[in-house]
Amino acid sequence: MTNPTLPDPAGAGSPDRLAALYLKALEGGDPGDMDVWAARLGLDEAVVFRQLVADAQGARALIESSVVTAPTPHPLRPAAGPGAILVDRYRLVREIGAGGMGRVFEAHDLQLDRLVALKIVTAEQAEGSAFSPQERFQQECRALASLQHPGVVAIHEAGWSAFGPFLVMDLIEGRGLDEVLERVRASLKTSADGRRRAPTSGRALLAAVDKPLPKGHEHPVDSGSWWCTVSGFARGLAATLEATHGAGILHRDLKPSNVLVRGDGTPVVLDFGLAATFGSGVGAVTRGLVGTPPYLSPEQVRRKTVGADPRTDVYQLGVILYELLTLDRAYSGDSVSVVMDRIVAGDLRTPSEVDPTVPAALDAICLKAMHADTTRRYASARDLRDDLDRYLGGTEVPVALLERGAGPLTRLVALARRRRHVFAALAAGLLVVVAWWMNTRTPGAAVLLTAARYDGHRLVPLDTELDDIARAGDILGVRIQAEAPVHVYVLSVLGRQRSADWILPRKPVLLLPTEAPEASDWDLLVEPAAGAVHVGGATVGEPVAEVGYEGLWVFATARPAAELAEWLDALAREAYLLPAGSPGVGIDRARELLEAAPSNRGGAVAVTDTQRRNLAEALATEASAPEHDAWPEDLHRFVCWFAVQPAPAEPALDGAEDGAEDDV
Amino acid sequence: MDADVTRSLDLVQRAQAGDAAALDALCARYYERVRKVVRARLGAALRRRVDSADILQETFLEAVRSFERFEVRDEASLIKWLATLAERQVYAAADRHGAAKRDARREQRLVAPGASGTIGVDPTANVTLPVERAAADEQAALLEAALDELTAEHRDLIVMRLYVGESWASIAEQTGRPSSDAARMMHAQALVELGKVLRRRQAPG
Repeated sequence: MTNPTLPDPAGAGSPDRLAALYLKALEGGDPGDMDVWAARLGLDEAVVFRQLVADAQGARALIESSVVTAPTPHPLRPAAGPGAILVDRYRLVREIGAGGMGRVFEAHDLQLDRLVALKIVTAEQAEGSAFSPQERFQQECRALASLQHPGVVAIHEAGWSAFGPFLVMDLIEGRGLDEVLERVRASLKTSADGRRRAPTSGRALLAAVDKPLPKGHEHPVDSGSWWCTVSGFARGLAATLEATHGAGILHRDLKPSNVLVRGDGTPVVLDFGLAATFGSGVGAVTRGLVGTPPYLSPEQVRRKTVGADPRTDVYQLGVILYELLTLDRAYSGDSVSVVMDRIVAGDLRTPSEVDPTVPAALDAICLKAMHADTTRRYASARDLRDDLDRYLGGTEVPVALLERGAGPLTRLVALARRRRHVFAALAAGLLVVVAWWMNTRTPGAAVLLTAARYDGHRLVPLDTELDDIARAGDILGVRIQAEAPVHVYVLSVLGRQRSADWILPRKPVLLLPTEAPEASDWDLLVEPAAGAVHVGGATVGEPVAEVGYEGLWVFATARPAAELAEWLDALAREAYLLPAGSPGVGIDRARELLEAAPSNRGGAVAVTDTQRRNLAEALATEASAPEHDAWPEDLHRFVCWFAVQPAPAEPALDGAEDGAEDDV
Repeated sequence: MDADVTRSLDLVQRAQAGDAAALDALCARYYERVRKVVRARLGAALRRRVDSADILQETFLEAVRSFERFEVRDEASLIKWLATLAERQVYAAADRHGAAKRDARREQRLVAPGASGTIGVDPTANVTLPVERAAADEQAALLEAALDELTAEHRDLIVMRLYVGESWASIAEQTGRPSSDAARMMHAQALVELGKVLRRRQAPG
């Protein structure tokens, strides 16, 4: 095959000349296959040719990243410094911060004799404004001043001084989140495997802030685990965005240095609306990219956002959450273009990949907030806040991990497969029980599920502390106590080990319509290595060789067995029909399917808030418990989902039983 | 004329009318770009003068003053014009300096881009840089040093295309190439050369 742009062999000449020809063709579009070009040269020369092309492209990239570069201090304006007086009213006391937008001073308001924060904006004005910079600046400030929210710093005045535009704000006793994160990082010791793990307690955040509590706030925010604290912090940010978005103000440049942490651990967002007026030009886009990975959204990188889009703020909040969870930056790279490419491609390590102890729910929330595709992101700050609230309340977080495409789930599945022997051996499997009660029309028919540990002879119920459950033994078991008969189904699933945001249903290894024995107190024991299930002392399952055991989903319901079997079938079919590499069926989808079933009588309802909170706390505590550092890195935990519905004490039960036996 | 240029012209006009904010914006917009272009074009000895206190400030003030004499075609032409003004400032400053120190007889011959002639410069002059940006940016320094090693023709081609962003037709016209295609080829050769220099400079040892 000849390439029209390719010179004839005689004209190819030296590698130098061919490289130049190739680059020239590249300039004009598609030069064609490089191998075809290289084939025109001898073997050694072809190597030189490739090297030359690569070096020349490297040179071009170097120039491009150099030309598009950081903005410089304003060449014409005098630089403000302590002692200077602005508009005959504010005397600068000392510089307390400098950021992308400008420099912040503590200033003395001579008129009112009080200390204020005064920001002198030095960034470039935004492009394409219908207003002059002054007009627009003051317009934004007016909007902001009208908004009163604890998460937004109050603005007193905005003006134009000899040093440039300035803002007068409340002086807040706090520390920039960037600095706080830096301090937290510095305070951490790396574990034996060289990994950095999040602090065990949320108190680490307050310790890093190290500022007095604000007036009127006697107590800091409740500092539970690190995960609770940082998700609470992110929630505060989301609530702030919710309020400002409601007032029509976007931030567009949300990043740790624009967030102050008060002494009580609550966030205050700075520079609202300024990015719209200042600094959305090339300078801001590329500032500090090398070495200081950016907080730009993909649409900002692509310069696609023309109008205002709250989802850009949502994205940036996601990036902040990422940093809070991992204490690492979401995107970094050796050059501007690498970082930008990664942002656009959404090419990042998930928080749980960086730190496996990150709760799955937060992992999913963060990834959804940071989704490169705006349509698959949280549509609003409110949606994001809702999910953070759910997490904090211990409620199941319906984050659509499915949306991630070939994301972490696929990788985890692959890991689980690779480590099957570990799973099978279950040297120290961790059982976390999440109870999920289906809505029932027969209230009062209680079913109590208790995680149990098999001590070699019998199941020992673990009804003391969730922490103990977390250290459950080798074999998974459940003690079921029901006032009325229930059906129990056992499926083989792949489940995420820490929490239970998703499952991947495999072909049901065991579908056991097991009616509870007369005695409404019996054990369900699963012997993973053998694939056997014992109920009430009798073995009811056969090992299924072709499907390795990787998790467990126990499902108990009073739903007619035929219907249930259909549902399970649909679930499995859906999982199998998914394209290769897709992450499987999430628990949400599973539930959707279940709820869409014809005779559905109600949706899932929550277990008590206390139970959720306990679980969330236990997960978090367990995750950061120091002794876990010694655990094998690849040892994941098991999650059991239990869906329980008491069988209605109706004649229909007989039919259900029959159906169950027929269908399974 | 694209939106960027329209916006820039608008800024220039407002700056001429005394709008300080517009002048601010104009400077912020082009200061670094112009600085990079000028530094890339000048040799090492003159380069540091670009960052001396008032060269670029003067340039922008001069631009506002003499704007009527400038015909804006596109953003590249604006950048190039600003760069030319800045270079003139650099040469003028170097000349003043050279005259003052003539007795020292430590002149260095420097070929101005696109022109022939010599300029007196005292390499030992203690020029204070307000912001030592280049030192902070190793990459920029590496690039500038590599550009110094190229022939003036290659360097100009790279500056015109990658720094200023000129069209191939314009480059062909200025460099006396018969066609855009020829300019592209020459530019590709310049890039290959630059790649070689960079590789050599980055090689260990």
